[in-house]
Amino acid sequence: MPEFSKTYQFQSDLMIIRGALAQIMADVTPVCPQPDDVGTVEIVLAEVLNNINEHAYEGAPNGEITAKVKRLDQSLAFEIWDKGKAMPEETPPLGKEADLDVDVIDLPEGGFGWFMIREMTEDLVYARDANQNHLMFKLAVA
Amino acid sequence: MDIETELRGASRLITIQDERIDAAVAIQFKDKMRAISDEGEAHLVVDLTKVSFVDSSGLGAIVASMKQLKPGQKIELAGLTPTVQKVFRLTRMDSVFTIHEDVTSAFAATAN
Repeated sequence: MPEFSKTYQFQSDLMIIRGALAQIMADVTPVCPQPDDVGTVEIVLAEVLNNINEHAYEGAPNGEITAKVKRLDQSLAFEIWDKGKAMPEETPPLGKEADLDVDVIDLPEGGFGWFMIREMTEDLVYARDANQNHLMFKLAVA
Repeated sequence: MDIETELRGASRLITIQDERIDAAVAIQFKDKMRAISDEGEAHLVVDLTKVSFVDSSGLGAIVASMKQLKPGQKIELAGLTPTVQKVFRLTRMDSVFTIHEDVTSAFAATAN
């Protein structure tokens, strides 16, 4: 198993998040041999970070985000901290599958994020400690 | 957000030049797509060959592009890259959109 552990700190601006995500992906790609796993990591991480911008910091560009990534035997373990608003009822959303059996005009334009996070992560844990949001999860990688 | 379009008979080919349709550009994408569909062609083909990544906001903006069509217009997608394909499959949006392998097969399907 390749060794990898790194911590990233950046702000909640969407373009800065985009850049941080690109940096994390460049760093983890060499320790994830399957391209499909890399795609999964990018999808989940993008959703988690965008949610922090949109919900925890309510679009504010200068909120602090810390992300720690560690390679484990069969997964990547993530820990993400922010100092924004707590999740509603201090619980991560269930992320129900959208109802697509509707007229085109009624198709959902959102709500896919948590569904995808829930589908692809393992051992997802959320804690609100010391006025920080702390999200932990694992993504299976070969 | 860089989008090029080309008239092909009664159709319009819409080529997304950016590598990402994500939260940072979703609103811009939706607005540009509205301006393009307002041109009025009945058949729109969106070439996503150069797009390596779409997040849920980008997906929402693509869905919005379909919802803002006028009666009689249809939108089809072509050239989904692997991670984009995965997002469509996971959310089952691959059952909502007509998706072609590439632009050539999108226009071959129309000709038939």
